[in-house]
Formats: sequence, C-alpha cells, structure tokens
Amino acid sequence: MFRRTLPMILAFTVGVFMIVQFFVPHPQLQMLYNMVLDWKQVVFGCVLIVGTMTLIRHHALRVRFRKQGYGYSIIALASLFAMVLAAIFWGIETGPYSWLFTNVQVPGQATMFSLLGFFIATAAYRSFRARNVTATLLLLSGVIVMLGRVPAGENMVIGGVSLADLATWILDYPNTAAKRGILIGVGLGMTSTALKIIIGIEQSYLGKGE
Amino acid sequence: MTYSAFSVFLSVLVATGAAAIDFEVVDTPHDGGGSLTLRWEPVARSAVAESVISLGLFRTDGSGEPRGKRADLAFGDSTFFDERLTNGQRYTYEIEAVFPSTITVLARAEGTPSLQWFRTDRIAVFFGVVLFTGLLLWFTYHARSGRQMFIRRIAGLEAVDEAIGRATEMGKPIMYIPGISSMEDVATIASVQILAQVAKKAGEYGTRLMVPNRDPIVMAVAQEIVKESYNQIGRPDLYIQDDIYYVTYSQFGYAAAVSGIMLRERPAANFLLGMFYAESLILSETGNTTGAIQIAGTDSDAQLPFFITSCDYTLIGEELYAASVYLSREPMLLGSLKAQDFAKAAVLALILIGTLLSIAGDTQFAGAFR
Amino acid sequence: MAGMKGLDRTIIYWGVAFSIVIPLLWPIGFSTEVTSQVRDIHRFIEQMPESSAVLMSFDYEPATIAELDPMAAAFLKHLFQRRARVMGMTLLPGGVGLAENLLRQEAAIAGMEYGRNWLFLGYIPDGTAAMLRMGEDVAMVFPTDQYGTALDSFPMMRGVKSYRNMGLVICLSSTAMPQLWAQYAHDRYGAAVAVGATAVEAVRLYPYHDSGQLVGFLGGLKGAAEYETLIQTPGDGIRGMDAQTISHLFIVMMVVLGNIGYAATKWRGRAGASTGRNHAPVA
Repeated sequence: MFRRTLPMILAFTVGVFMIVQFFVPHPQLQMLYNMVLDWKQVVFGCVLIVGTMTLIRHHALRVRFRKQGYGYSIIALASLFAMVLAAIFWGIETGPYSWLFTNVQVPGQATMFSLLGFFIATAAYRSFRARNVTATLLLLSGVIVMLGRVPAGENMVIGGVSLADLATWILDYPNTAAKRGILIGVGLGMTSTALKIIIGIEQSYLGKGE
Repeated sequence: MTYSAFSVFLSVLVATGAAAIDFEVVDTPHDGGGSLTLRWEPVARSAVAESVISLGLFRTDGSGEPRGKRADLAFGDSTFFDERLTNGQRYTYEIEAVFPSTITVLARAEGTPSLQWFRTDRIAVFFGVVLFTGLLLWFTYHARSGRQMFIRRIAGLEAVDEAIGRATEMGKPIMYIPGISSMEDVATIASVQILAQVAKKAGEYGTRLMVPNRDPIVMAVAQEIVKESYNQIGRPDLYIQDDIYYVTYSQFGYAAAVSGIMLRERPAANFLLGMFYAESLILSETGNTTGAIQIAGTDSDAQLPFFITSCDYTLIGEELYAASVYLSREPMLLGSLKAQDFAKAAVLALILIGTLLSIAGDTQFAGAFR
Repeated sequence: MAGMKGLDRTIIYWGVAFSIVIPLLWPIGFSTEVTSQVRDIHRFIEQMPESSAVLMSFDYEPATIAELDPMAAAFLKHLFQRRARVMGMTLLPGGVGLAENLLRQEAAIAGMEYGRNWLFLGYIPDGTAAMLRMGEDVAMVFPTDQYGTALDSFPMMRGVKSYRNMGLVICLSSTAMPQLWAQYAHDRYGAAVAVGATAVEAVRLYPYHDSGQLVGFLGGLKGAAEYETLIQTPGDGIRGMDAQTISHLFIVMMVVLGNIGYAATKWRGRAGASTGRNHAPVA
C-alpha cells in the first residue's frame, strides 16, 4: 500500500491537478498551486540536510575503515566543517568564510571550469578528421565557427562572404534546425514520460521491475 | 471568457495647453480576476508642459470609497496593473499632472475586473495534451492485447551488457552518473529508470555499482531503486548504501569529485545518463583517459557533441527516454513509444502546413500556436 | 606527419596554455563585431522606460566567473546608466558572494543607492518553484532582502509585485536555467527574458531567441565583449578576446595538423578500419 498504491495515487492526483491549474486560472486553484510550490521548496531544503548527512556519513566511514584514498575524505570533512564553523562564528560577509570563498573556492572552481578549454582542444583534435563527406562537412563547419566567432577570423573573407557571416549562418540555420528537431523529439518524450507516470503505466521510478 | 473593456478617451486640458493622452483600462486577460490592466501612451514632460512637477494615478470605485492615489507615475511609464480588486465592480482611473499652481486631469478611463475560467491563450496546448493522451492510451491498450511492436536497434543500449560484463571480467566497479539535474527533470527520471535495469544486470553479475549524486533527492530515489532492483533478483546482500551517495550541489565541485573518483577507483564502465551541462566534457574526457567503456545519453543537445567525441556510445535526445522501455521490453511501455512516433508525425505535418501557409501569406494558422 | 596521429595530449595542453597566457600578458587589441542576439538586448534596455524594475538572477557559481562576471558587470553598467531599479538574486548557494560583490561594486561606481536603485534578494533553493512563484508574487519568495529588511519597506519596490511590473528579467547561467526562465517567466507569465550564458550552453539558445522567448542572449566571453562594445565601456570581455582568438587559432592549427597526419597515414595505406571506439588517436 505505502510502497506502490499510495505513491501512485499521489502522482496521479498531483499530476492531474498541475495540468488542470495550467488551463484554469481560478484563484483557489492558484492558491493550491502556490502551496505546492512552497512545499516543494521546503522539501528541497530538508533534503539538502539529508544530503549533507549522507556526505558526512560516506566520508566518515571511509576514514573509519581506512579505505583507499581516505586522506581525501579527511580533507573533505575538514573543509566542510571549516566553512560551516567560519560562517557560524564570523558570518558570511566578512571574515574567514568570505576569505576562503574568495581565495579557495573561487579559484578552485574556476580552475575546474578552465579544464574545459584543454579538453575541448584534445576532443576537437581527435574528432575533427576528414574521414568521409559528412565528417569533412563537420570539420569545415567547426573550423568556420571557431574562426568566425573570434575577432581575427571575423574579417576573413571566403568567396566574397565574411567568415563571421558564415559562422552566424551556420549557427542560425543548420544548428537551429537540428536543435529544433531534437527539441521536438525531447518535448514529446518528456510529455510521454510525464503522462506515463501520471497514468501509472511507468512505475520503475518506484523501483518496480518487469 | 468574458472581456470587459472600457476605453474612454478624455481631453481635459484647457488652461495649460498640454496634450491629452490615449488611456484605456481593460480586464487583465487570462487571469483569475481581481486585476485590471491600465495602458496609456507614454507622456513626455515637454508634451504636457515643462513646468509639470509630477504625474499621479488615482482610482475611484462605485462602493462609495473616497478617491485615492494608486501610484506616482514616471514620465515614460505606459502600463500599470491594479490588483486585489473586486470582480464585477466598476473602477474609474484618472491620470493627473501636478503643476506649481494647479492640478489637471490628463485622462480618465473605466474598467471592470472579471474572472476567467479557461485560459483561451493556451487552447492549442490543451488540444495537444488531449490528443497526445488519447494516442498514448490507444496504443497502450493495443499493446496490452499482445500486438507485436517493432522497436529499432539502439547500439548504446545493446552495449549495456557488454559494459557490465567487461567490468565483471576486470573485477572493477561500474560508475553510474544520473546527470546533475533534479528529479523534476524528465531526463533524470529516464536515467533512474535505466539505473533500475543496470542495477539488476550488475547484481546478476555481482559487480559493484557506484552512484555519486549531485542532487540529494535523486540520491534518495537512486538508493531506493538500486535496493529494490537487488531485491528483485534475490541479491539484497549486494546493496551497499554507502556506494550511492551525495557529493555536492556545486556543478564543478561535483565534476572535480567524480573525476577524482574515476582516477582513483578506475571503474571499467561509466554510464553518464541524464541531464548534463558544461561539466559533461570534463567527466567524459576523464573517463576516456582511464580507458573505461563509456555509455552516455542526454537530451541536452549542447552536450551531445562532447559525449559523441569522448564516449563509446551515445543516446541522443529521446533515445534516453526510450531506453528503459528498450531494456525492459514491457509491452505497455512499448505502446507509448508508438504514440510518440505518431505525435511526432502530427507535429511534422503541422510544421509543413504552417510553412506552406506562411509562404502563401496566411498568418492565422501560425498565430494560433503562439 | 603520420606521427601526429598518436600525439601526446599534454603537448596540446601546453599549447592551449601558452596561447591563452601570452596574449593576456602582451595584449594585441582585437576588436569584435556585434551579433543580433546581443544587439537586441541592448536595444531593448535602451527602449525600456527609465527606472524600470529589472530582476537579475546570478545563477552561476565561482567556476564560470571568467565568462559570466564580465557579462553581469556590463549589464549592470548599462542598467544603472538607464536608471533601472535592479533586483539581484541567485538560485545557487555559491552565487550569493558573487552576486553581492558585483552588485556592490557596480552600484558604487555608478553612485547608486541601496534600496532606491538596487537591492539584493539573496538565495532561494529550488529554482523552478521560485521562478513560478515570482510570477504570482515576488514577496512570497523573498519576503525580505538578503539582510532581513522587508521588501515593501524599500522605495524601489513600490509597484513591483510580479513579473508583470518588471521591464526585464536577466538570467546569467552556465546550466539550463535560461531555458527554464524562458519557459516559466516568459511563456507562463509573459516576462521579457534576456540571458547571459557560457559559450558551451549558448548554442542551445538560438531557437529560443528566434521564437521570441528570449529578448536576446550573450554567449561566452565574446558576448560580454560585444556588449562592452555597445555600451562603449571596455572590460574583461574585450580584454579576453585576444586570448580567445589565439587559442581558437591554435586549436584550428592542431585540427589541420591532425588531418594532415591522418591523410598521410591513410595515403600510406596504414589506416585501419574504424573500430567504433574513440580511444586511440590521442595518447
């Protein structure tokens, strides 16, 4: 009852309600809808606490049983508690929390993001090969967009057309057309999945198998 | 839906020689009532008079309440939404200009708010939902009757067994990344559906499954799904709660942590299925360097090129949603795929008709879908 | 040349590093052309009535500051020039410090007063719920600003209840937030939405701009440089164009060399059939 039937009834009721309120602007429905949104935020806040507890548990167990690489877990736990304590005792606008945020978290995360630049270079080098006609088209498009989107390439002209215009054309038309095609399929797939859950055909999210 | 709109144009200015303005008050469309929309042509200071001090909006209702100021208006303002009104009650609004020695009404208009029961601006969406639901129910019903349905081969899903088998042979774990979005994202729902199938197969082979999560709700669902999957194949002993854990809510913090785990634990198979953003290439390239067999899938079109480059198999867009159906081969779910195909054909037909009519100069057809 | 096929990836990494660092140390001074997606936002803000309310959501974390901070700074400069009333907020916990610093910095430069010209609403979890809720009532999502003062006590919030009363909603993000703002704030509540996105994510915004769901968008550092060009205030965007240009040229050069190597290998008849796997070429 509590593992299957009740969640399915809940999914159906809430799903149908969300569809109805989308089309009916009655204040009572909107009030209920706002209540659902409020509860969603409350649940999310609570689950963040659950997530943090799991994180602590996960790393604490690694340290306790001296699992391979447990030193990283010690660093993770120490960093977590250091930030929390710094925020509690000195606030978040000034003091150690702000210092750690600016001097550790900001450069650390920015470094992670900057790795993309390196990975994109190797990925482009590896995949842009003129193996056949379609791969050659991909290669040419890639090169045109890469050059046409930076100042040095914007002024280059091929056959009377500037590289910037060519790059814009590729992004505006073939790129947008392909994305629209994928978006339409994705939209229908999303609607189908949502309807299957509301109707109760799809239950694997509840752990149900064949 | 009832529209009650009163547009009154009033020219009042005499003494100052300033221009009168167009002013209309209409019931705010497609709302639950209690609101009026006021629109007027923006007033330039010079058009009224250089000496004007301020502009004000005043309201009178028929209930006997005294005339009251609703707002100070800036030169250049052109709209105002008045809310918390009584449906059916008539309200009169005046825009006033204050001069050093006199106050002058620039314009006056009336309106009555009313409740709408149906959002007519969403009629196309409504018919779309009804038709699609009908198709879904129809094909599901037919699938139940045992009619065989064809589903094309998806290479990435055929390789799931191969990937798990490889990890088993090498005695290494499998890493399953359910994307970095939340549970309300359909890609995440599709991903946890595939996780159920992957967990069962991993359980059958007795291979360790790791699921690092960015969203705590997804983590809770993933734990439940893996546990249930192991139960179903009779191997509840394989379930280790600590292997399905929360990492961090930070996008690149998550990418850093998972990349580190890949380099340390060296999983033999990586599944990257769900919603991914800019971190996709960091994850898949790191997996690529460790030599793991990688199966990716996302409906995030911007990330598809990265996955195609770095992974062995990639599920594109809606293939991700079809994956759990493909792996489970449940007839009722297969019916839903058929409904999707028909709906897609209908959308394509509408696009074609719309394009032809637009070329022919018709604007009504395309306008109906705005 | 055939040796290019098995090139050590660290050589490419070093090349990328040098192609970025050198132009940053010794600038060249490239100028950039402005695309329609960027021009549309600029035009929209120019045509907005003075002192319009603008909601600016800093939906990014420290990782993407290199691309998104210059955009945010350029938007703020322009909005303050137009005397807009800016409400800053974030849907990510890591965005609080970034948004706060940038708002303070740009407000101080423009001489804007807190509570009258700008304010910071802070962080709210669960983005979609917050976006939808603000279509009904901003004060229900943010009853107070980041520092605990009730919203209705700020002069700039007079007459601002929901998206209806806002001239523009701006989202700066490295994830799918822009699409969500378009789908919820624009499609559902009719708000005008403009976006600043990382270059990786910007590619998916073209359909949204074409359909009118977005006023426009800034893509990556180039988008920031274009906006800085329009407001005639050079910043980190324009400064970064040199590094971006040289690194793009380097990647194109590597792609060309890779293809020459590939062609040479093929010509010698040593190229094997495609394995369907993507592992081998870069060591």
